[in-house]
Amino acid sequence: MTSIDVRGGRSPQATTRGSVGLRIRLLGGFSLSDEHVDITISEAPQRLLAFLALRRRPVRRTFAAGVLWPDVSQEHANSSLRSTLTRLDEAARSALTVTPSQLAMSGGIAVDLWESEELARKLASPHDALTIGRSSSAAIDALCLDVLPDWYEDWAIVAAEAWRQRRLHALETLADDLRGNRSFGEAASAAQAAIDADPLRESPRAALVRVHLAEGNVSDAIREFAQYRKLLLRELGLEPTARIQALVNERR
Amino acid sequence: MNQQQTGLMVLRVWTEEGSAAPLRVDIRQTTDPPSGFHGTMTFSDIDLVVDTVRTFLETGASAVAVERNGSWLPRGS
Repeated sequence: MTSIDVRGGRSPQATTRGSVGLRIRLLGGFSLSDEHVDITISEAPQRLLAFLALRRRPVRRTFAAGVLWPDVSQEHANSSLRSTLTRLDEAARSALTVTPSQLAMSGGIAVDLWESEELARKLASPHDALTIGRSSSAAIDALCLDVLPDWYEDWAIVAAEAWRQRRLHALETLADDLRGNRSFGEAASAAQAAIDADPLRESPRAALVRVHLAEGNVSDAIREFAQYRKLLLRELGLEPTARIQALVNERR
Repeated sequence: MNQQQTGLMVLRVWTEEGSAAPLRVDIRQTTDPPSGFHGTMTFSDIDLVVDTVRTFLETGASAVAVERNGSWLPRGS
């Protein structure tokens, strides 16, 4: 079984007093919690924290204001940012480092996306040892969610799409690794998670077919291929590539 | 859509190497962003993609159905 240790989800600066235990969730939706207790904050602070967590580095205040309030003048946007900062409650305020010119996440803040990105990076690097710490099921769960799925600002959509690509690639890699370790059930779960995110994409289908074949379940492999072929014909009027057909045909 | 509304259309493009028609384009669109996208539609034909974009721009319709090839799938939105 492949076991994966996911660390690195905290900002790299030294942990500061007052920010210990603060956690921002971006995957599946936004939340802020302190020592596992959810903190309710209004929309503007949510957007500010989410924006800074996605940027992962200090940004100029004028830039943040312009991005977060794109439909008003720069002066008005700057004013809205100042107002938002003034009205932040204590927990949200402690998550930020604010200077006259810049904004950044405070040290020691945990962000779920950073943890999942670290996991995806490790999966993509064959030379980066995967150490014991989390089960493969937890790894699959960490790669199943999209960034802020119900947010429609440009900056949120771009970040969501970038993460989506990374997580799909990581899920396929995880499926292949687990298949190699003969953890067929979890390998199938990883491949299925990638399929659920993108039913028409061929590579996760091929990953699942390979899992079934490695396990000796030729009939499941053929059924998976048939379902994909049916979907592709119905939606696009196309046949699967010769590559995935060959996977199945050579075992019929 | 009127001047007070913001429409949103996102195109995700990739290729399936080895396919008879390698291009794939996922399109999500909405004329009411707070309510979310209407679903995802996938195309492999550039002309159909252009038709969909043109119709969205011309009409601002909530969900543009291009009947010849494809249908809106309630996924990934």
